[in-house]
Amino acid sequence: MGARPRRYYALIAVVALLVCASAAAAEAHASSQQLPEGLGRSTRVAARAHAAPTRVLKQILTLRRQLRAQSAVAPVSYPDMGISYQETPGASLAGAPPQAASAQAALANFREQGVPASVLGSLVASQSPTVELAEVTDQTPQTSNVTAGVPYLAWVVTYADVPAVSYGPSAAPAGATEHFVGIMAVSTGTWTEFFSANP
Amino acid sequence: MIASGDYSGWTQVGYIRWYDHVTVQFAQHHYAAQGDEYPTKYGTMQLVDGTVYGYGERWDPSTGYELDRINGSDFWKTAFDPFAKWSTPFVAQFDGEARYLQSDVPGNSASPTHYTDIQGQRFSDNTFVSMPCGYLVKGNDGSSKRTDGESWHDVLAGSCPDFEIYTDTAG
Repeated sequence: MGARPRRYYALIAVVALLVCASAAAAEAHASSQQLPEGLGRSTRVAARAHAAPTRVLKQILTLRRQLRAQSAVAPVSYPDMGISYQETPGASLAGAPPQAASAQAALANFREQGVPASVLGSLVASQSPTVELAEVTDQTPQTSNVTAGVPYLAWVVTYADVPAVSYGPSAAPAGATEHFVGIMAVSTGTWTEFFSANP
Repeated sequence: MIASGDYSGWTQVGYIRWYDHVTVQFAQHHYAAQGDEYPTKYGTMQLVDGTVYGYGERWDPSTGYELDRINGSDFWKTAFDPFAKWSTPFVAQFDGEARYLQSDVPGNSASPTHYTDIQGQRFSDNTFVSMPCGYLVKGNDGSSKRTDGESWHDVLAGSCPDFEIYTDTAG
């Protein structure tokens, strides 16, 4: 019998949350652990019963935000290249050289490079690439500044609709496309990879 | 380049030159089931004319991957075992690839590109051995013209297995 009232209050609290708590309102409520003053007894009881589940709700909302954040910046992998990256939009650019200080600067520098100019031709200027700040992991790096398997902060420039090129015995079919990607290490402002592949 | 016996797949490593742009190292992999995809890795540093590099494809029996080697280091590697994706016997070709007329075969008549120390990885024990005379055959020395009127030429015909090639309208 002694446990029943607590279950009852807990049930009231859950129902109250389900009915009236929008995510934003519940977050705001969860941020306060103080019971409001000047409320009537019934209101105070409901509010007190509300307080414990809001901690759980706060955790749920935090988890939901994390899941949303993760789904918004899902890892990108190029298995054939041994390269993957996770977008990290808020990473610090402190100490970055001028060519790596912003997405615009990185793209401008990319467009000055010989390999992108040669592979992309007129597409380098006519197509709109994505430029992402990301933690990049490279299993077969070609510069000594990068260690295999160790993530590093980089700008990732991606042209997503580039005609596939075969340098081998059979020509690429007409209409076949691949991504062309350039990766610039933020710490040095140097290009660490240029490649064509599909994720 | 090492290619599938039916030429439906290949791995290659070497250098690539675009007219009026840059010369960089590169490698490319392909097998038929990849469909329209031709993963290609390009070097990020421009090469200096006259520099000598050693390029080679090496199959790693411990992993099954094909390694793209430059000066004895791995530039890249496949994500597949060519013995599982290609047909045997494999075909070895050496950069220049004069069968493919639109490839920009390096060198000119005054400064041909010299290929030396040509080796192959022996199937039976994976050891690299010098390529015997008679294994390499010419594709179209001086006979087939590209769309720009040029053809490729071998100027060390008697030095098997070494050869020198260039692209020109002469000959």
